[in-house]
Amino acid sequence: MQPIVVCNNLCHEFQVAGGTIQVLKDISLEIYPGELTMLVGPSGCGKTTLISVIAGLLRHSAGDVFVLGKNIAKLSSMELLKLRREKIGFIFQQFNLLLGLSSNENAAVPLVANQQSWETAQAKSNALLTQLGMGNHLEKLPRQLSGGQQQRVAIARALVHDPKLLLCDEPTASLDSQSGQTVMKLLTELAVKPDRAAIVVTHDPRIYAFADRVVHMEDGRIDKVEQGKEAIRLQRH
Amino acid sequence: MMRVAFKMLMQDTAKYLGLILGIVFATVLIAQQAGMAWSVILMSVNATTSKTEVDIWVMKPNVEFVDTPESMAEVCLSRVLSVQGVQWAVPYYTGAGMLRSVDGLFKSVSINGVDDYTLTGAPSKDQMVMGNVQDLAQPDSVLVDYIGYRKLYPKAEPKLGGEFEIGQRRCTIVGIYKSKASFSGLPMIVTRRSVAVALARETLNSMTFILVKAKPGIDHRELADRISSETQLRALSRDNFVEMNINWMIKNSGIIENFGITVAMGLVVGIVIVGQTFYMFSVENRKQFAALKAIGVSNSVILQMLLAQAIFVAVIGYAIGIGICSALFYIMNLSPDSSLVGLFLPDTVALATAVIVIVMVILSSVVSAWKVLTVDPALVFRG
Ligand SMILES: Nc1ncnc2c1ncn2[C@@H]1O[C@H](COP(=O)(O)OP(=O)(O)OP(=O)(O)O)[C@@H](O)[C@H]1O
Ligand SMILES: [Mg+2]
Repeated sequence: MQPIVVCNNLCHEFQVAGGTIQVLKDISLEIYPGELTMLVGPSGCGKTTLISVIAGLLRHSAGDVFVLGKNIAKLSSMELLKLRREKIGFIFQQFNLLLGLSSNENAAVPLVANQQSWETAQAKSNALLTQLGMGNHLEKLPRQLSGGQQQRVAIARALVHDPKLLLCDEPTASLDSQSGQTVMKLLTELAVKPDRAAIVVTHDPRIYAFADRVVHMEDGRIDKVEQGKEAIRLQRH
Repeated sequence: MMRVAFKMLMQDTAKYLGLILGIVFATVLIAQQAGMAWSVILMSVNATTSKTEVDIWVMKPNVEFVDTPESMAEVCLSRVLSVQGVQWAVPYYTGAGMLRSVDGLFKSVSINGVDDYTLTGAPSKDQMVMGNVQDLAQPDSVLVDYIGYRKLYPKAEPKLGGEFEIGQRRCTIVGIYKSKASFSGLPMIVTRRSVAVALARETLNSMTFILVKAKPGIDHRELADRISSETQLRALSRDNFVEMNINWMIKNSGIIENFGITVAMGLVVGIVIVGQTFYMFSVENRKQFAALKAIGVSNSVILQMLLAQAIFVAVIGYAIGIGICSALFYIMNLSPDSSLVGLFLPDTVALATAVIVIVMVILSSVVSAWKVLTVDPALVFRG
């Protein structure tokens, strides 16, 4: 099985006043389709930086990163945009929905950005939102929705164009534990498919149980990797 | 994505309305003031442009403006007539006088004397509201322009046969004609030149212009040049005469400066309001645009979205603004004795305002677009 993401000796440093700080140190990692990989570790250890590099939002300093077989260092910024637009779905801690658009329209944006007609896009996002239990809130604006509902709209937006890679940064951090559980349950049900990989950054131990694999980071390095849902669950109980 | 752009634009209703209000304000200020300025300037040439049968205007060489002419000797007419290419040439008199109405009120009027024999330079048939131009043949008969009539008799319905004195000479109204407002705003009296000279209490030699028709096929400018060089008078084709008067107005009336200040103010206020609102839009929506970029929307599409937003509000704001402005001009013309009668919104001004407003809005939006275009999409992961 081909991995969706491969990092070989990935390093990243930020230029700051008074020098550089090494944020990612020699990361080697493979992410496979059909799996939900959680990236966990203390604040500031580099989790967000790592998925930003994988998403092509940040150009890394050294090492190789392959996404869907492509060496992203060799891609132009237009090619990176296209990769993100067509193959990657995003979920953010702050939802980042467009405030002037209804749920249905928000979730349709990636399709519209991919040149699909407004009507087709609406129909697809409508179906997905209904699956996510948002059928009664299709016309509502983000400000009329609770956090958990907004995150469900965000899930629909992340999945509507059937991406091969799903990147989530702290998807439950802004939610109460009840909504967090619901969101993760829906996410695992809908997002994990044989041809898609999902990476979820979190430091919320209550949701570890949804992972197929947990990658622990510490100070820019990978500390340990736990494999298999059962193993994770056993460790917790 | 344009649909997305419009929804984003209207998400903040208060700012959206503020933006449109700013554009409306700028449009009204610019179009209204520029319209007044330009229509006042055009008023100075209304009398000239309306005499379409006249190809060339001849005057004393030192005359700079149609309302400040000088008398020419009667012999000038025969000299002009003798220039090759002249079909006909007639004398024309313009001057001013004091009108005394039956109830003893005094009013300044402008007096226009047309050729006694041909009545050339008198209003056309189409311009007549009442009466007949030919009736000028009757002794001491005059035509009065409609706006002027309303100024002279604010309460009475227009009718013929009314009498008044000018220069202690009694005259009778035999016709009322429609004309565009004049620069002086005075009621206009049209009569035969022999009568006009008497009304204005001039002595001899009262001929301020010679109106010339060129023979068919003769170039007006060339003929004007020929008349100038052969008679030592100043002869100008109608277009050049209009141009001379407009230039004189621009240079000497101070209109451009006076109105220009307000126009510039409108522009500055517009740029400030519109620019600032766009800037706030951009700053507040940075995260939303960052999310779009993360999702894979390119800068060029985002720029198109911002431009579409700008053009959209510019068109709406301009349409409302120009509507308000036309209404203002309409209201100004409602009362016949107001000094604002005759002011209007010239098409050129409406068009120029459209260009100015749209450029202003696009520029303001492009400047603040910078904030959006340079936003780092990685921002979406940061709180
Ligand atoms: N643009 C930047 N410039 C300079 N330093 C940065 C930048 N972005 C992140 N850092 C630093 O890099 C380190 C890793 O940041 P990162 O956001 O990847 O951590 P994280 O694991 O996601 O933390 P958290 O759990 O708090 O979100 C931190 O020390 C942070 O201060
Ligand atoms: Mg983070």
